[in-house]
Amino acid sequence: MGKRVKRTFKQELLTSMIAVSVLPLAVCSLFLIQLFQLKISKDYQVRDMELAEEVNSRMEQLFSEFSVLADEICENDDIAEALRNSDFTNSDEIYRTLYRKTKELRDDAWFELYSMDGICQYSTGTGTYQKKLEPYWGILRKASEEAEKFVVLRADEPSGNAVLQAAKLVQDEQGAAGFFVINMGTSEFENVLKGTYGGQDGICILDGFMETVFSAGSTADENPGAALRVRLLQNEPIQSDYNGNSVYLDKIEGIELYVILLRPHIFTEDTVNSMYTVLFIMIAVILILCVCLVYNLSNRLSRPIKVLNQTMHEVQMGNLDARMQEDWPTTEFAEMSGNFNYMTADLKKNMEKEVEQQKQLNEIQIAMMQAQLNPHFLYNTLDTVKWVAKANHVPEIVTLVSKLAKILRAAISKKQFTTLREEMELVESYAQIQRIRFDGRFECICTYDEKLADCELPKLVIQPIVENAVIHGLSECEDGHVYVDAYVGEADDAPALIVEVRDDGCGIGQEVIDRLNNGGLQEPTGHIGLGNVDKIIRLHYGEAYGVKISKPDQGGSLVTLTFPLRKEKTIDAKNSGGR
Amino acid sequence: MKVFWEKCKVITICLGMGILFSSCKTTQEVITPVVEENKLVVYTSHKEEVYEPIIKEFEERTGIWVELHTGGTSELLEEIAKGNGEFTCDIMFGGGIESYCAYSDYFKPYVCSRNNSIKKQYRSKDGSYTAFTELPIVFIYNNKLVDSGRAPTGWQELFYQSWQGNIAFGDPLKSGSSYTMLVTLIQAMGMEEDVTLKQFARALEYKVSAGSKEAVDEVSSGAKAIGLTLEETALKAIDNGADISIVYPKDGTSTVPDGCAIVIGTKHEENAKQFIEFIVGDDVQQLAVDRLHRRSVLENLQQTGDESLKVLNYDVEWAGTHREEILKSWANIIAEQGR
Repeated sequence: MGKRVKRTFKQELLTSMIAVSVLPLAVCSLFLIQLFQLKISKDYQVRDMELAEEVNSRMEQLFSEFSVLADEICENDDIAEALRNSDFTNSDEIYRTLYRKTKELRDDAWFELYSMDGICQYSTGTGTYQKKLEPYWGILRKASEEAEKFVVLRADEPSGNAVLQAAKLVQDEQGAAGFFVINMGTSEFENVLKGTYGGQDGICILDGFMETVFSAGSTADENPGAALRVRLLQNEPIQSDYNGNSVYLDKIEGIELYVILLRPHIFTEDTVNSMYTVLFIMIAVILILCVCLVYNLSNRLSRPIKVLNQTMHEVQMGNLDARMQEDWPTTEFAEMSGNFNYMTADLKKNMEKEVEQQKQLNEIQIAMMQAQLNPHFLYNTLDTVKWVAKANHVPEIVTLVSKLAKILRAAISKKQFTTLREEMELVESYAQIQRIRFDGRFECICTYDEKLADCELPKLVIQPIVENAVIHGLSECEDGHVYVDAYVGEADDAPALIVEVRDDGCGIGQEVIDRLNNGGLQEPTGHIGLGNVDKIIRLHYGEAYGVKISKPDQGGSLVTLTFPLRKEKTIDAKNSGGR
Repeated sequence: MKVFWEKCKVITICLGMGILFSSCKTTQEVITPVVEENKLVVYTSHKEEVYEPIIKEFEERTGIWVELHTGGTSELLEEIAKGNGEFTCDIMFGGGIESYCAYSDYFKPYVCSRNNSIKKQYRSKDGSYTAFTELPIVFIYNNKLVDSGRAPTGWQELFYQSWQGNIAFGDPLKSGSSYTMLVTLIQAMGMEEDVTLKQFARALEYKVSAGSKEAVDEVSSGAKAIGLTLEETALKAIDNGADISIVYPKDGTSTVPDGCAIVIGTKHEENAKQFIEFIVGDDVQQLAVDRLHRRSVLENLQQTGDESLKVLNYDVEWAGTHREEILKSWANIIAEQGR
């Protein structure tokens, strides 16, 4: 499929609308108009043909009767005799014969008998007696040249009222004696063709050279024959329109005549134009209707989609409170909006639930971790041991137990946060215990600025680090040191409390360092304490804080803890928050 | 898919065309078209009553279809000259032979088979034209106003005081035959053209009729007592009941014939030749005498008019070459005195 230009919903809709409304209308109407025109003109053509047929048959009938009459007259010896002798005495006899024989036809023509020199001797018409026709010219010449034939010719000027003449040579055994001439004038034609044509039609009879012989009806005063003759000579189509009339031409068989029927067009240009105008107005109205409908419909359809799109975008940007309006007029859109809103609400609920769960989980984790170091009973026992040792004067045990108790107290405490000072004291307590245990093989040096003493940090986060350093870093050393330093550094573009725990022991494995630094603290390893500390810090303060391990060049290992720089007040506030 | 759409388009277009053109009907020809070999284009300056029967009979006898263009003689000749032989005209029919002399370059010489039967003086020297009928100039007078004994008998008598302002004469600027009459008068009076023109203008009191037919009407109605016209026009008027008589000038008159010629560049030369043969044939010449009140150019044809006609030796060439000059001085004389 070819490349498609992207179109809007509105355009698509408009195209389809036009395709289903205007196109069928236009095609149907055009088809109808054409069909109508075709049908009407065909009907009229058929009528024309019938009319021409009627005219044809009447003319043929008439001329065959004329022909028979001419034969009878021309074979009459008396008539020949009378024509040959100008001083013939029995002219009344001839007239009687003539009138008797022409009785039936005298309404359709008048009849004349000419002598060979073209003088009219007998006539059933008026005022034509002794009229002269040139025997070498026109009808008489034709009749004498075609002696045995009945000839027909358009009449010219000296023939008086006659428009068409037919003649035959009168002969007997002595030879040619004269001419029998049949004359038809305009009124005779009207009589013959009476009733064949209506007032609107034009009828015209032409001779073989397309000259008008008789013209009646609407063309009575015109000369369509001349126009058709010009057409014929210019090789133009004969039957094309004449003066807004359709032209039908037919030949009258037997005699060299043509009949033309002219009929005004039922479908004049005006009618067709007004039909087309109506069609165009209809199309225009439908087009306007289409546009309005499309505008309305596309608004109804595309606005919800637009709103949906916008709302979805908002949700995408993180606003789960975004809601769509639900009162669309279209059921489907109302449903869709409802579903979308439901979905968004559900999503929000799920998110909140998940956050809550995560929080709970974290708290449980912390609580569990703290519970590991919270044996109440152990504390009470240790107190007892301390008093027993004091009674028995064993100062090492007293120290040992009192320091252990201090550590335990801190561990048992419900507080989750402590100050740097307390934590450092805790570290020192632990160091003292371990010095006794390890027979003074190491030293723990804690240094911090007094200004930082009130800084907040989760409890029991430095001690596990120091423990690690003592147990794993210095286990092989005879004279080890653990340095714990606190100072102000920077983390996440803010001032931070940095606590460094450094030892000069055997160091730490590179693999452990990598794993710790890459956040792989969740897995239980030998340094479980370290992992827990990191996790606690991160849970409390976020990913920017936590534990980092490195291997300094001078040997041993360096653990750096990073906390946000906060004072004790906030700690109290937090602790009093019930957590 | 694309192909499918293309097909759809094509089908739609075809359907549309079909609908649009379905109304155009074809009809079988009832009449066979006229082939070029059966045509003849005739320019004629004759009146309808003259050309109509002749053309009709010609068509009837030969089967040739004549395409007719009518107009004034000089107008038609000018058109032929403009076409310079390339024009579609085949034959020029009508108009005095002096006009033909002036335009002989545009005519194709043709000597008809009956040339020897034509009166000697009407035979064309170069064959460029063929004379059709002779048209004598005659005097006419109103029978009621003029006693037959008092009617003028010669050209000189036109200048008599008694006729002054009483002579009907067509405007020679408009009518070719009136010009011929003027030249005939000049030649009859002995070739002093300026004197003759002035005298004649005074005799007319500087007033002319619109044409030669109008001149006859004026005499017939009694507006003028006598007039100058063609015998043909006068005979026709008498035939139609005008109460006028004809006088053939005793000192002779001109009988300038009208002519017919084949135009150079004709496309239907054979038909044109047939036409010339036809019009100098016995039948047409006889018809001209019997029906058209004209005189035949043939030697041996029976004439109906006055046999006593004395023919003046009319110099056709002089009339042709001096046409402009004479008409100009005539116009000047009329214009000066008419003020």
